[in-house]
Amino acid sequence: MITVVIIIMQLYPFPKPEIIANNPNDLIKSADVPENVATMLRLACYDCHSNETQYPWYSNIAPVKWWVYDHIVKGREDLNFSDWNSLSKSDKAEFLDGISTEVSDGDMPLKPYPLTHPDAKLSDADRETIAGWAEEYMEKLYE
Amino acid sequence: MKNYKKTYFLPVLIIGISFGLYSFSKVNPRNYNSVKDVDSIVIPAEVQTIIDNKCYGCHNTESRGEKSKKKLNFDYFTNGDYSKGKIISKLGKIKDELDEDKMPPEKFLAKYPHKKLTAEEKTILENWIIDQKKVLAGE
Repeated sequence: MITVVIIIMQLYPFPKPEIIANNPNDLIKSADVPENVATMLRLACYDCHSNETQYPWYSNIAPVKWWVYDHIVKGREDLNFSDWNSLSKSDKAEFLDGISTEVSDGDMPLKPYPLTHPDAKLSDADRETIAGWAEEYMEKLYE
Repeated sequence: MKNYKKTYFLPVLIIGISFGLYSFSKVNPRNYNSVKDVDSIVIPAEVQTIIDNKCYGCHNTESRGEKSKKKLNFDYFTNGDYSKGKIISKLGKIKDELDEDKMPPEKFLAKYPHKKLTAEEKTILENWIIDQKKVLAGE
């Protein structure tokens, strides 16, 4: 019975957010992001906030996929690092301010994410590094 | 003697409370520096009055609300603590909050209904933000 329900669940259509490998406007490609920050952003943010999502196997199985795909759609809608360079300066400033606040307050990455992605777990020092980078970048935008 | 107390107690109390309320409503009055160069934000008097009356009470360095002052501190607009990029970002955020009627917060307004922004005040703030963002960003 359960098997049948799970199989039927798989048939329910739910579009998978596309992976795009080549993003000329990508933040890390187009801006001068220090290596250590770039690594952290890739590990802790890029799965939901870029077109370069890395899907673990279980994320493609319903019901998990409904939840995961939905997060990715919303994450990309809110902030997509793959489109970074197409943003206006003032939008960049606003996002950087948001990144600084949310990362240092522990609101991002979302709490359940590091449970299945241990590499995405940020220490307090990591959070400070990311927030410091965002603040510095924000200043540089208008120098 | 008893009679004297009765006659004067109430008026004195009322005057005392009025003074208390008056000084409370004037928490941390401040003067914004007006413009020196294009690099600093311009806060015209009418905008300053709205900020002082409706926003500054929570969004200042001395505020008891850690969250509110961390998100936005009007003292930092003029004392150099916010970079230009930060000011532009904060202006954008303020406009978003105003557009969605999120500030001042509903819970706060339930207690202090007179702190609600009037439609006119909102327009003044929004026009000011649009203008200042352009000037500061050099757009």
